[in-house]
Amino acid sequence: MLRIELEFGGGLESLTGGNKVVPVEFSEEQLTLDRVIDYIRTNLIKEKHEYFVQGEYVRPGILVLINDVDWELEGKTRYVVQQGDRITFISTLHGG
Amino acid sequence: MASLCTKCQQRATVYDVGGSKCDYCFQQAIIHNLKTTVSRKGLARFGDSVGLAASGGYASQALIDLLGRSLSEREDGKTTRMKLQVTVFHVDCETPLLQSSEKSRKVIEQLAAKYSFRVCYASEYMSSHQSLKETWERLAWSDVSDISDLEELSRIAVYRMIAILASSHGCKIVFDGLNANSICRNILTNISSGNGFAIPFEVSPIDISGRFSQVSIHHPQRDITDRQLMRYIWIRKVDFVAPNLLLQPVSSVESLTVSFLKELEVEHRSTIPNILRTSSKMEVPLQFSYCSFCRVPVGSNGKLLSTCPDIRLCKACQYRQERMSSNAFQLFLSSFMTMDQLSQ
Repeated sequence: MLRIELEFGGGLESLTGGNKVVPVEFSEEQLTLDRVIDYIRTNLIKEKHEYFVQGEYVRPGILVLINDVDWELEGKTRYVVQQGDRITFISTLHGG
Repeated sequence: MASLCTKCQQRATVYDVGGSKCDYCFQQAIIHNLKTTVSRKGLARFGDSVGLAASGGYASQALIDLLGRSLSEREDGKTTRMKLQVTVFHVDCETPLLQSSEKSRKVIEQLAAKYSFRVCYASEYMSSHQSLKETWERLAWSDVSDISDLEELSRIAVYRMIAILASSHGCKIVFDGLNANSICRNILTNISSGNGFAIPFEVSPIDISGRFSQVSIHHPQRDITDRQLMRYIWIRKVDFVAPNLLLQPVSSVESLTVSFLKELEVEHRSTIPNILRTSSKMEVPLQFSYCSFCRVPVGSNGKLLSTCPDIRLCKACQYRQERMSSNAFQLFLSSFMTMDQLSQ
């Protein structure tokens, strides 16, 4: 079982019922980040999916961090998720 | 193999313009950016009284933290050369789209207290200034049906209130949290609404418009992107207020422009710097006046109101006048003009 933590910020927590941190378990021993994104879109977000994804990709304007490191430095969707990873999604699509 | 910081060769955690950086070097770069903009563009001088317009959102929280660190002792032990008297202004009177809340006040107060910045609230000021309170309460928000107008009117009202607060507290200078992305958004929305004349004023980090005669509102974060600010805030674990995305308008001119820019950036990473650079090349007009409604600089595209020749409207407000009911437009116009008098 692969156990990881999903974190949502910048307003994205309103799409997951107000939950900023969501622990999840996957039965696969190996999976890539695009599978995690698909899981979020299908299971965690009930409405306004367009605020999170655009087609199969994370919507432009959403920062993705893998253990506090920008996902561009970790291979983006090709990153292979490890046990205990924390994946953070933060929206910048609003005024500050 | 892990990426290395281009400055110190430690493990990189931030994917940034100019090369990946570690947390520490990234923060130093952002602080340096802000300090450089403030000093080289002459946004404030040693000893000035400066206001910070804070909404509680990530950009203005970043501004408070960045300025606070810039004014504190440097982390290498050397004395900082920046010295400013800072007051944070927060407009906690609600408009339909800019919702202040207890959380906004709390996050602002916590962060301001860390750097011993004073905080002033519009509601407290209004409680002892009845005419301003009545003027604000006269704003006919319920009569405005267009979502883009609501957003813009909220912004116009808030900026006027900031100018009043700053003026009453002796601050001739205010810093706001507008960043590279929000300024580009404003540039594009100005173009689409017929206010291209205002671009040189919009893009400048220093307020060269003089639209609020007693107060200059500068943008010290003009060269910092929203991604960099959010990344900075996240590293620093600074609390901020984020909107409920389920209630956010998606079809306003502003939100569509933001989405458009974000999608462009995916394929063309230099979109934002290009817009800023090109806009900065536009010559600043020597002669202009102001829209009486939104205070945007206007040239020959401004139209005098037939019913009152002292009042001039920019193109965007001319269109707004056609969309809004006559009564609602007049109420907003008279309230805004009263606020302008109060800020003087």
